Amino acid sequence: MILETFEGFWSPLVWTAVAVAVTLLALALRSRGRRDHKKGTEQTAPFLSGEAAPDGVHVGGQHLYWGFVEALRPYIERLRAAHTGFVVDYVTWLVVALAGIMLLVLLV
Amino acid sequence: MIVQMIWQSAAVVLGGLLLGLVYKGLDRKLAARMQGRIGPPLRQPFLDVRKLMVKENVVPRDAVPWLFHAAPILALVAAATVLLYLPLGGLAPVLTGRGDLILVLYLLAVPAVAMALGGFAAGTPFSAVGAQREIVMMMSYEFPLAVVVVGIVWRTATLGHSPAFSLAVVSGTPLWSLVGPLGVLGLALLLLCLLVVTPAELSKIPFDIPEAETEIAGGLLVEYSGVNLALFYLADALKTVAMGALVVALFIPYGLAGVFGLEGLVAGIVDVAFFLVKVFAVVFASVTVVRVAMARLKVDQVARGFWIPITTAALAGLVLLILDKAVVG
Repeated sequence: MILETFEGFWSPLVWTAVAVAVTLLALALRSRGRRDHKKGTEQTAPFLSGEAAPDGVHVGGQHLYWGFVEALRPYIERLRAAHTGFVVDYVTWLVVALAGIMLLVLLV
Repeated sequence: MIVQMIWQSAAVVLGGLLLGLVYKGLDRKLAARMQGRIGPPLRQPFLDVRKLMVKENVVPRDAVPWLFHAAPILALVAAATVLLYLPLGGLAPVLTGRGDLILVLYLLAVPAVAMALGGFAAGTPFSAVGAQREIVMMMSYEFPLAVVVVGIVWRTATLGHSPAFSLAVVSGTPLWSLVGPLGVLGLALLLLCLLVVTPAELSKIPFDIPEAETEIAGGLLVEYSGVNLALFYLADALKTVAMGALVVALFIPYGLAGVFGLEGLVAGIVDVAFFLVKVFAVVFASVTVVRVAMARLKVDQVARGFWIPITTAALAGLVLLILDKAVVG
């Protein structure tokens, strides 16, 4: 079975079969390595550069989100500015974007 | 037919693993020489894998164990299968006709997603921060990479070759000699963008932000050890070969056999050998030299860098190809 578009194609069944084979290879490789570790000791404590790790220490969702916002700040600021809450603004964006795409299609 | 395909697939995956580790060894040796060091022996990556296999496989106490263990396998599976869709020298892809460039782009993204999943599954601060950075990186470099691929495929399609997303078709249609001066300039821009995206795909300096040893102690890999880390290491080796092979397939799919009028088995051997040299040249130029010459960028610099200058350059390359089509036809 091959799924095709005008210029693209792929066979999910073939990929799945190959993926299963490579998974078996990876599991065979894993079985050759050690599987044990010292459970319940300091070995399993989170690595915090030598700092004491209290129970349940983790980075919360809001802090992870802060990381995304900081890394992508210029983009997010533009998005925030564009989100005015007025439907007329959103429809204008849609019309302008569609006009741009149609112009591109006509030119190419 | 199926038996032949199985043998070919096994040969490509195992050969890719060996080649990836050899390239890693060469990369480390040459980087050391450029820094005035002797460097490790070429077989050091093989020794690293062997050593990791005998080390304990530690699972952090707050981890989600099944996801923590599944992530390296997912990374390895995606990196291995992508090789089967790429042309290797004069040889057609093992799974030719069963997957196209779009599939390759998706499969190239999976190891990074798997590493991010593993980082989050570890449930520790450094790994979570590393995983978050990996996702930001992906959001940054995927668009210019897509523009590069679309540019090449679109120009190939305009020349009447179909199906244009087929890697066998793209690598069988070297565009440099088929386009005009504007097209050559556009292709050069796209090649430059892809060479910049390559170290980001491989999380190498200056884009090693998700790992950043001196800052977050290895980031998303900090809690991985033993055989799990070995599997990520092997996935990285495979992905290095895959990225090199992709650049070669898109931009330098030329062989030597035709130049010297060779035929048969000798032609195949010469073209495969030349292909390996080209992949190494790509890895050397876009990974080894760059990581010796540069320091790590900050994550916001990477996002801004890929979204504005690199994407603009890629779009400019695409526009030049469109203009070239209008002029040359």
